[in-house]
Amino acid sequence: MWVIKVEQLKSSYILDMFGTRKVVQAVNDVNLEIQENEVYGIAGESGSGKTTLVKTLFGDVQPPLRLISGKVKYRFDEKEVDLFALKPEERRAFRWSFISYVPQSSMSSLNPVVKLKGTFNDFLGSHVPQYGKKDMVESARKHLVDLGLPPNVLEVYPHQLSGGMRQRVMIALASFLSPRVMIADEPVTALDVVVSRGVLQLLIEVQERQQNALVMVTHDMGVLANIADRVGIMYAGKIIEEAKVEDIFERPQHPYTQYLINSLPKFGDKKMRESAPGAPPSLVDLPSGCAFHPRCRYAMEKCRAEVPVSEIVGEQHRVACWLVQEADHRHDS
Amino acid sequence: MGSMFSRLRITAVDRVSLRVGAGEIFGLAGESGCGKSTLARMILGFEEPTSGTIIHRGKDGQAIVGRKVWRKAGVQAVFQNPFETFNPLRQVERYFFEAVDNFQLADNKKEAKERIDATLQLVGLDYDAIAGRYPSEFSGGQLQRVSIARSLLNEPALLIADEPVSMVDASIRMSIMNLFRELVDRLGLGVVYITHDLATAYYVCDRIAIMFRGNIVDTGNVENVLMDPKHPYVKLLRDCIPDTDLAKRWTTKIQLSESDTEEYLRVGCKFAGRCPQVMDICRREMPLDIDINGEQVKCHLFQKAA
Repeated sequence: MWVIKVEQLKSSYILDMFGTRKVVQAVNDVNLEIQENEVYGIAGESGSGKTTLVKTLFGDVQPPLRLISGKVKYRFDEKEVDLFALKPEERRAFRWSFISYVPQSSMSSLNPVVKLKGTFNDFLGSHVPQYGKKDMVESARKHLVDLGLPPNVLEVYPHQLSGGMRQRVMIALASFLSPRVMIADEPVTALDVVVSRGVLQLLIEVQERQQNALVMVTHDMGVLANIADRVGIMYAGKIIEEAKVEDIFERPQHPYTQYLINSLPKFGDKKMRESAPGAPPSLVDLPSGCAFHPRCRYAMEKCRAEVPVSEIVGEQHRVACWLVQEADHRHDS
Repeated sequence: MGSMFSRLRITAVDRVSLRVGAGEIFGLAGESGCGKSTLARMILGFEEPTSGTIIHRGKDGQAIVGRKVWRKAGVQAVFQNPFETFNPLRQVERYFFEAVDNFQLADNKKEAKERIDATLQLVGLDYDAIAGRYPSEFSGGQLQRVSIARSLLNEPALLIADEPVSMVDASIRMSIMNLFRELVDRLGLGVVYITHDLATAYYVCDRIAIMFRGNIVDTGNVENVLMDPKHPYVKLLRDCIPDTDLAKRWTTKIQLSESDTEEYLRVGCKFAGRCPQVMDICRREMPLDIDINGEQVKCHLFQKAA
């Protein structure tokens, strides 16, 4: 059963620069369903719109980012709620209790002049008004111990902690109210390999314990191979392929996904890797038709003219590519 | 090499010895704060070691020691973020003309242009592709190629590449790695590839040194070091890299480290606090390099065997 459903979502950054209007189409017609109790990975290069997508999922749409069209629905207490039909105050009530967010740089999200127990109070106090300040600190301590973190971190300032510990405190903060959905946006990108493994370990542990959905945004395919159940690949603001993790890695269909998977270096295999020619397009000035066609070696006339629609090609596997669809039809007839 | 840091003296690079040959890509890998960038700065002559020497072999085969080696021996650097390498308000071609001027590589503008064009062709570009353009008009991958070309202008003997692909889009990262390999094979220069990404290091390097808290703990052929890790730290590192092979998903859990400074100040082996195979001697004495089939491993475990 889905917990978040996204329908034909479009959101863009609208910039007015010296009289010229620039529209950055960061999320361009995305359909997505996040299921209960799954780890959903969103992969893509920088500038493919993955952060904007999860920001919109979280309801954090502030100028210059604007919602152009489409819907984001939450399933909450057996009811479906249309996120953008709500008033801002109502939307705020969902944050942290229904959906929470672990950002990339924990340093800039924790208040540097407040001890962490104060931050716990600030973030979460208003969601559990029945707790007094003392109860709050007590339950925060209990939560940290549950997650295997030293409870004395509540008494220190953020700068006294290492990057890995700060990120783990953020995870504790985000999971405190047992939200149904946790979004982690590049949670380990700034960390060392050993530390990042520790942080991922904690994220998965929390997910398994709370049985919620974890949406993981990353550009590191290795991380996804290790923890994701399903993966969506983004390119130029669209999800061009979505499948179970084993299908993405073993049977990628979209030429871009194939490039991405085949160019990954592997231990024990020094075979020459080839990467896709050219560079990702600018989101201000997208190529006509399929946004990948200028880099695609299989590009056909149709790819230049028409935007490919997503089509189911297997169990839980959908691809937006004319080539794959034509091959499929030929196969059928 | 020592530095002052909140009244503590930290040995950022401690008793390190290594050799990089012409025509090879030498990897220098480790976590942030392990001293790999400090070592690179010393090789480039930006920083002087507290003790020890760095010897460059000049083009005429003579040994060169000391500062300004980039001028005398032809050592050049390629940095992590090409958008920070170049001033955004200057046309990139000006860097090329300046370098030609500084190294007196040409007599007139026409010759200079030819030289620049020839160098850019080594990286798959040409003069027309950069003429009159500012850094912001390039994509990250292209600008990194431009940066590599600039460093090749004076035909360096050694190129120091500090995380050259970590800011480049994933889909074109491998083409930059392949470019390094091509340049080494074609021009016979040596490359020191500094990275924390062991998978690309395995892909492109011939030999590799793994650094930990200022020490090189393991040096050797990439096949030996990475495919058959011996030092417990290298084992841990190898284990923590998320493999893209679904059959190799993590099943075990790991222990995270104490603070950096504590590890730096350890008397014996710096890894002793986290090592699963720690012995008494590890806490007392710094291990020496042990030779195992041409691979240098700094670990007491192997001393016993030898």
